Amino acid sequence: MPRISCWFVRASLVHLGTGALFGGLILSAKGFPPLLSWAWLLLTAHIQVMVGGWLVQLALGMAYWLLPRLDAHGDRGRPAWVWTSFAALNGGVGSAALLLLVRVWWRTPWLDALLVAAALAQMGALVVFARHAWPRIALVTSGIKRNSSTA
Amino acid sequence: MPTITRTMIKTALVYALLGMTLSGLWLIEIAVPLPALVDHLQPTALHLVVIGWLTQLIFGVALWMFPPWSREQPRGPSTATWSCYGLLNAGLALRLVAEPLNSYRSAPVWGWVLVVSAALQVAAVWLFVALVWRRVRAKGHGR
Repeated sequence: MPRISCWFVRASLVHLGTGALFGGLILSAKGFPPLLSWAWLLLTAHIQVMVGGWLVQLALGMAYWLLPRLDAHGDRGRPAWVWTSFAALNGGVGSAALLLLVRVWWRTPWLDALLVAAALAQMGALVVFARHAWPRIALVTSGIKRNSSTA
Repeated sequence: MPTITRTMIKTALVYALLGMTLSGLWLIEIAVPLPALVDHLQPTALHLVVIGWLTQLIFGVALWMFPPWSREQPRGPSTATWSCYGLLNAGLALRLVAEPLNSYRSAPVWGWVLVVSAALQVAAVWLFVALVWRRVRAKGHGR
């Protein structure tokens, strides 16, 4: 497994463990509403962490590892772009989860601006990763076309 | 494909079918009147798909495909992998019963079952993280 994928997968595991804990508290709160009603404040962070931090991040890490290479030397292409994607995704998901929690008690315009920035960071992470992955996917498509035309 | 992976994937498929059926009932209910319990099943249906199907599928494939734990135990200790499977599915099964019933007609017993269900699911997830963490490693010099 390439080092970048290790970082993606391990970060996704951290998000999974955290998100599961949030989810467990919310599920318990359904059973004991008066005692655990505060756990519902974790709902938006739970969704952020489980969708962006766990599922999407794991998929990106595995895609970097498993998509076809660009040449016979095993080049995966543009590692700097993928590191940027990793930083943007984790910065975006982590800060969004935190900001959504803080926003429950304290609302200011600059906090909302940070939330917008976190959303843009998450979108940017996907754009940058897609830019990296695009030629690796095209390679497979052209390979299939070549094989089917010669078959 | 190891037995634990085959079992997880097959169980995941059952959850996918169950979750999508319950979600489908919610769509049908828009056109055809159905018992009120269908509405109360929707949060459970979502989690059957996301945890029972997606997450369990990922768990099974990761235990199969990630770099080996050791030469003797490539998937890790089998007691731990099967415990992970048992905890996750016991937690989900309890949730499937208790969550809609607690929402439909709240009672202390359902509250406690939900807490146990939550604890089982969280324990399964943390056990999986512990099992997989050391298997996530670069081979030689990773790019």
